[in-house]
Amino acid sequence: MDGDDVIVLSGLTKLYEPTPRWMRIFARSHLTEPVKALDGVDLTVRAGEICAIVGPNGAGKTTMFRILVGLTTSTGGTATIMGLDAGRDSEQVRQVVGWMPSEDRSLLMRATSKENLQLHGRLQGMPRRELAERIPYVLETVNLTAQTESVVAGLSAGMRARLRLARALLPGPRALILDEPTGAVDPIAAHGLLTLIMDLVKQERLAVLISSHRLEEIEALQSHALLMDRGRVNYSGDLDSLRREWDRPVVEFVLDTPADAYAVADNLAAQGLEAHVDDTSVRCGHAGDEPVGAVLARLGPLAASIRHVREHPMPLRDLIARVYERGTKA
Amino acid sequence: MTSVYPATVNKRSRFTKVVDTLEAYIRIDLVEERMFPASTIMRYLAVVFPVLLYYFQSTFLTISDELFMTMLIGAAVIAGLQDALTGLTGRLNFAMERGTLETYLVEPVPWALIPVAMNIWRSVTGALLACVMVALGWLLGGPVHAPGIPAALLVLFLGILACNALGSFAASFILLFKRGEPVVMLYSLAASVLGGALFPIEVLPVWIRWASYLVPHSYVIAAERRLLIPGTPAEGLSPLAATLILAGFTLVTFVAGMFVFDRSLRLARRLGILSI
Repeated sequence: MDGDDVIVLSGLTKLYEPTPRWMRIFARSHLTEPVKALDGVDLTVRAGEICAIVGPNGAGKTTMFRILVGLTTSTGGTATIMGLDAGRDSEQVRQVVGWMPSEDRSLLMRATSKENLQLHGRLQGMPRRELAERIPYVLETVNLTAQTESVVAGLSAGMRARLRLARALLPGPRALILDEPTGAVDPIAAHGLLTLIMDLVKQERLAVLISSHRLEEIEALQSHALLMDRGRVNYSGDLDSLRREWDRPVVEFVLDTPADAYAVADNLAAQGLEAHVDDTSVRCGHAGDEPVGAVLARLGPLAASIRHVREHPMPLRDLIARVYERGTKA
Repeated sequence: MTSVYPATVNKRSRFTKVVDTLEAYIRIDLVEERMFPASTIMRYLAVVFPVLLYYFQSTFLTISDELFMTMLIGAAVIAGLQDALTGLTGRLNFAMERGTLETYLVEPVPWALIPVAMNIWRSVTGALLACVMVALGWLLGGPVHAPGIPAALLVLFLGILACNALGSFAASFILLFKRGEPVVMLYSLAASVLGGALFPIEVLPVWIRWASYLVPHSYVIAAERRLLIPGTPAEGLSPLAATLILAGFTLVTFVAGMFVFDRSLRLARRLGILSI
């Protein structure tokens, strides 16, 4: 383990057991069969790194987060934060991790921003004097100074998200676990929140685990990504490498007339490529690592009628879908 | 200042953690009392009416002031212990439904302490309301033996502790099955009958009287009556014996309650149903 490694998961596995029969007398069970929520997940998040956990519902993201903050235990492998075992040293782990749950409801809605932070700070064991200095600092960090004495119920969704972040930052954690931090936040506020998180990561060298369904946000974070499906890791690495490996850009040829466009499309189809005509442009997804020049060369005299050539990178959504497709086939 | 505040894990002694946790939860309760000021005021005002009810009933039935106080003390103890007994289940359910329980559990405090910490304010206010009811009875002419008040407060305190311990069994039930009120409500109603809220337990048939000795309410009510009502006949358990039994009961139920709560937490954590 490197000195900079903050969050380390090694072969992390969680098998949810069915609810024991005696318990079903008192309450209807939601689990009657064992469910493997995590299956041998390996991950290292170093200080100053963001790792985005991406996956459909049931991928195992929440289970991973719940193991890290001690709300459930793993059935195999290990999860450590700053060398502390998430299962055995749960109480200490909860002191070095800042947890930002996805829901606003985790805040005391009728209390003020300051009161919410005071309660959290005291439970974290922060001395009163330290807390008195720290609360204005974190509120300023998340740009909520003006809302210090405001009742949470009166704050906007974006402000509440920032308050949840302030609460996570209050005790000065080394690792942040952010469960869909921008869930109910509008795109502009979400952008501000993510920029803030990125700045904090750079300045304070925090290790951040973040889950989000908004793929454009994951891309904006320029982070390490862990693509998960049914408890397994389908891809682990940075998004640039993912693009290099999986991106199949679409090439668009813009021609003078629709007739030229159809002629080019026929030629491309004859080369075994998929081509779609839209007025004077032809979109073509070229196969493999073949350079665009090779495709152009095979167009022969038709290439002279091409006015523009544009390359459209694959949207991250499609890229991830391809990775999942491979995972399903495997 | 920087966002990274402690250089290492902030080590606190067990005692400091207990104090911090109790203080923080009392603060949460105070904030919640302030969140809904009208309902808080009404809750405190509501105690006036049972006192008036028993007062006018005793006037109508032309029963003695001592009998009026016998009923009032029983009702006051039941009301005071009710808060200690049901407060925790109410709070846990509220936190679970509102989504704050997960946040409480993620704090670095010993989980076994949470039931006690969550219920401390409610228990204190419950005891206060019981005292206010007895004081109102005294204002209405009911006899109160002033020298017995300190011992009566000690007995009430022990009763509240015992009910808190019983409350942690209910908390375990909530953790595992997500519903605890029916159990507590059933116990609470049974306790008011078996504890002899409005009558001495000697009135109960012999075949059921043994059950009275299983609820702390019986000991608290019997001792309070003997301590606070002048001239109460020295029948049944003496206040000292009731206090000693109550102390033993509290100790056993506290240890057992904490053990069961800890086991339930472990099971809920393993099954992944904690706070869900």
